[in-house]
Amino acid sequence: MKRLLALVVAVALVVGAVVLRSRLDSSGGSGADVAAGGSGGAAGALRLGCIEELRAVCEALDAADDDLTVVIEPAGSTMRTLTAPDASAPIDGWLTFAPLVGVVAIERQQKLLDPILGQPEAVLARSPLGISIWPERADALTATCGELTWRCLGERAGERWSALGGQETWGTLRVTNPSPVDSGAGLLTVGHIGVSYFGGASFSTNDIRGDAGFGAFFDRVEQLVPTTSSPFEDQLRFERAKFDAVGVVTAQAEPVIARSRYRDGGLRLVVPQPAAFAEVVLVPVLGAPGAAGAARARDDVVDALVDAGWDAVDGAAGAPGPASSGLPADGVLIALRTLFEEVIR
Amino acid sequence: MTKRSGVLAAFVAFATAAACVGGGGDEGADGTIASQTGGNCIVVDIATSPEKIDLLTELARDFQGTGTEVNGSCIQVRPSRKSSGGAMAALAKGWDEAVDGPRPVVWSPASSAWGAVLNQRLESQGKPALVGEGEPFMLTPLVIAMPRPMAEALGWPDKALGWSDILSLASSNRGWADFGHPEWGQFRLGKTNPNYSTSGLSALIAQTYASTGKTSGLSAEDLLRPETEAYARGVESAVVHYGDTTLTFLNNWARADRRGTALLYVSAAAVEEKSVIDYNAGNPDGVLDPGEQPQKPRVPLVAIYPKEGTLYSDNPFFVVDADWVSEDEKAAAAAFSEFVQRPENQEKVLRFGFRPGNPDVAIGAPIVAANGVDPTQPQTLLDVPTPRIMDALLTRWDLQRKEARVLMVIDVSGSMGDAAGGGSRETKLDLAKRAAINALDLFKDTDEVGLRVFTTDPNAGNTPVIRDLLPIEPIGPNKERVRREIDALFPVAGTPLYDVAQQSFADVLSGYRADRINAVVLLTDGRNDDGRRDDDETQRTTLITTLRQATDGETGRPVRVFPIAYGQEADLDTLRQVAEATNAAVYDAGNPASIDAVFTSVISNF
Repeated sequence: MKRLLALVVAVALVVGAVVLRSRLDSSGGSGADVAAGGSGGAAGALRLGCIEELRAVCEALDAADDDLTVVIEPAGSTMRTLTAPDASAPIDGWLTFAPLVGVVAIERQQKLLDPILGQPEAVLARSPLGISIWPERADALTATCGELTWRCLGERAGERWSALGGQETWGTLRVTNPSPVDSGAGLLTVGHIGVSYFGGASFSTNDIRGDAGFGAFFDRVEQLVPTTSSPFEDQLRFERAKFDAVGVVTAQAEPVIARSRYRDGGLRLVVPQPAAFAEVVLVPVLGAPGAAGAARARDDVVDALVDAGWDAVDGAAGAPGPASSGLPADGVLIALRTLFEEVIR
Repeated sequence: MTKRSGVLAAFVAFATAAACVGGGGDEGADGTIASQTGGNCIVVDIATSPEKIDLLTELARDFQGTGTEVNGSCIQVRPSRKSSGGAMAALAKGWDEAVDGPRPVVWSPASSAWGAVLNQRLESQGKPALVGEGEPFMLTPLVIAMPRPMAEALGWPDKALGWSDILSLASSNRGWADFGHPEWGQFRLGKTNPNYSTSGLSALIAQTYASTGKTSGLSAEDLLRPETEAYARGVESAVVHYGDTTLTFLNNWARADRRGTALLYVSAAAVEEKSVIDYNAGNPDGVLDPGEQPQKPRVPLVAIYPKEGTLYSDNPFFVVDADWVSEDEKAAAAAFSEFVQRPENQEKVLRFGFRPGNPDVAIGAPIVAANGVDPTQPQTLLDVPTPRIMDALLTRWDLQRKEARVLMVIDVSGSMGDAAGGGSRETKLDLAKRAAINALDLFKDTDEVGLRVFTTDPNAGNTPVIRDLLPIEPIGPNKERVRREIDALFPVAGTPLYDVAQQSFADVLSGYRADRINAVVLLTDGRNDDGRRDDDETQRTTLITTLRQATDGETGRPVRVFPIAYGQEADLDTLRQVAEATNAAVYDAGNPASIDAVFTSVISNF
């Protein structure tokens, strides 16, 4: 008897739930059951690819919009997919750093492939590229170099701290940045390192290859202390034992430090000069069923970026490029990435 | 993100109805609620290194209370204890559930380095890797633990110390006399077997880096350099014995401390920072047995963070990429991994003396100077070598490690002819013989191994019979002879345990070699039975006293007795006292089927 009663109640509740759900659906409530990374692409739905550096932004977008599916992965993974001859990216748009779009375009062109990404119309938001460094080590290097720059770090990488105004127990100066092969921030950072060495963004691939001093400098920065898959996370986790200084994107690093055990000045973010910026763009994947949705999502994306600590950009700023980012041309970034692979091999 | 749907709403309604009317789940025919211990849940079996079993069990219980689900199924997390090296070996062999326990969805060794070793072993077998990058769950660095007075004699804390100082001490004939303390004798080092112990593996990596001056990129060429070889042999020469766990050293140290001889047991031991905290709190093995009260040591230990750099035991969570792990199980494992990383759960790891893996959680007590540790250290982290180099390190260590001089003593009393049990038709002696023969391969050719058996002679009034089948000689040329002698053993009569223990200790002591680990391995399944009961207590007391007096004069010649209590009738209590009296360890093979694994553990001391 007890079981029969349970069954009757259950059936009644099920019927009621379905009826209620139907009414919600017909009144405009979200009805699509799309899991993250699912096939999507239906009218009104947008599959947005996001680089790892924008994870917080994209997760916020995903939570706020049932019509949105986000696919978050390392920039290098997406770029490899987009530059493959049989590229069929499961995304309609890509939220990424501006130079990465240019790199994809160049690499596809080199392979005689048609373009796969639309051109970014404008920068949605930006953030300075920075260096995450322990305060006492920043102070010691600033006293030694006059100013904390990538050139200062690179020229002294591997030297004992006791010769750099620090303590013997600190060991040697350990500098790193994310891999430019896998990480968007890494690709921008090697560009910033080049900017620091050459004193500006207008250096060329020939300059990289032809300047023996740069070769030795870049070698010191990238080879002495191997990077890891998440160098900033490792710096936080292993403290001073792992890395002294790590290249980061300020908007990505600031909130992480703010909630960490270093929130009260335990870790310092320095924006080295000449400044360079990570510029975020949203580009459609040409021919993707939901590509039109990429443009429509622009305002929501900008809001999410600003909420996450990125700097809003004046609408008149125009298309992204070296003039605004302070970084070298996309082709030079490719050359730096190639040099990185040679150095660490 | 979970999206709502009509289907889900219906499911929730159904479950709610059932809960309201019939109880917490489907009712079985007998009216009981369906089991939540795996029956309808996704089970996440975790093979975890022993030091975090209590913590993970607590977290698993808390996680279950959250009601987290994957695809509508509840999750049950089941941690089980498995040494890092043991789990690595089991995974490399394909994991035999009959021997190794439930096949893990998650493997959490003490260090990521084990993942590299595993993948290398698999690659050498032509198999794909089983683990990728694991997220660190909690951290503890490898340190060199030293009694405070000894560390201070070396200049601690003002002077940075490290492996180069260990090498200098190990290489000096004058020992502690060089630092104004001849009464402390020679420098002695406690270091575990890197094939089984994370601390041993980390110490091996760290001392090798120290010999090269590097902190990353250890290469095959580095290992082949004569300086690297000499450094390794120099450090290993000071080792008193190895073993598969640092807890042996810590427990022996605590006992020596209670006798006032802590400075004479070992001078330093490579252990985890967490162990220094536990030791100084009076809980040397980190586990308080029921009724056990912590007893703080007279002489506390301090943690020396090697100036050349060190490694963290980072306790990663590896989700095993094997065909026995389903996608649901992977998702469930990911959910539990996210749960343990939450700040409120990371606070708990501090209680156990570990540093939080989540950098959002501050490092605090008990990781404070008052406990002999330094939260601002380490200052230099070494890179885990590549799998190929790790494998080469372990291979070279087998050649570089301190050699042994061991007398294997095997009980051939009548009871060893009893069935081993568990449905097996083999006797206890059959299993013991096979295990002892297998263990011979764990020695290196230059180790010296002798074989002795003991029983009584029923035709001569049960007088003790202690017979040397082979003298202590290099095992290399003798391995076949030893195998044959072991294989030919058969059970006889009584068990003159006290006589053989005393005589074997004395015999090894008489031929003591300072450049070797001198030891007795004593396997017995029974209690002293030499035909005379009236003098048993006196014999036992005399035995323990003799062993202890000879050992406490640690400036002399330590001989370790490693007893194996075999079967349920063995006198484990006496055997433990024998081990403790010689600063060794007793091994419990109460289940005869475990004798093979136990022998492996025993021989890990050499």
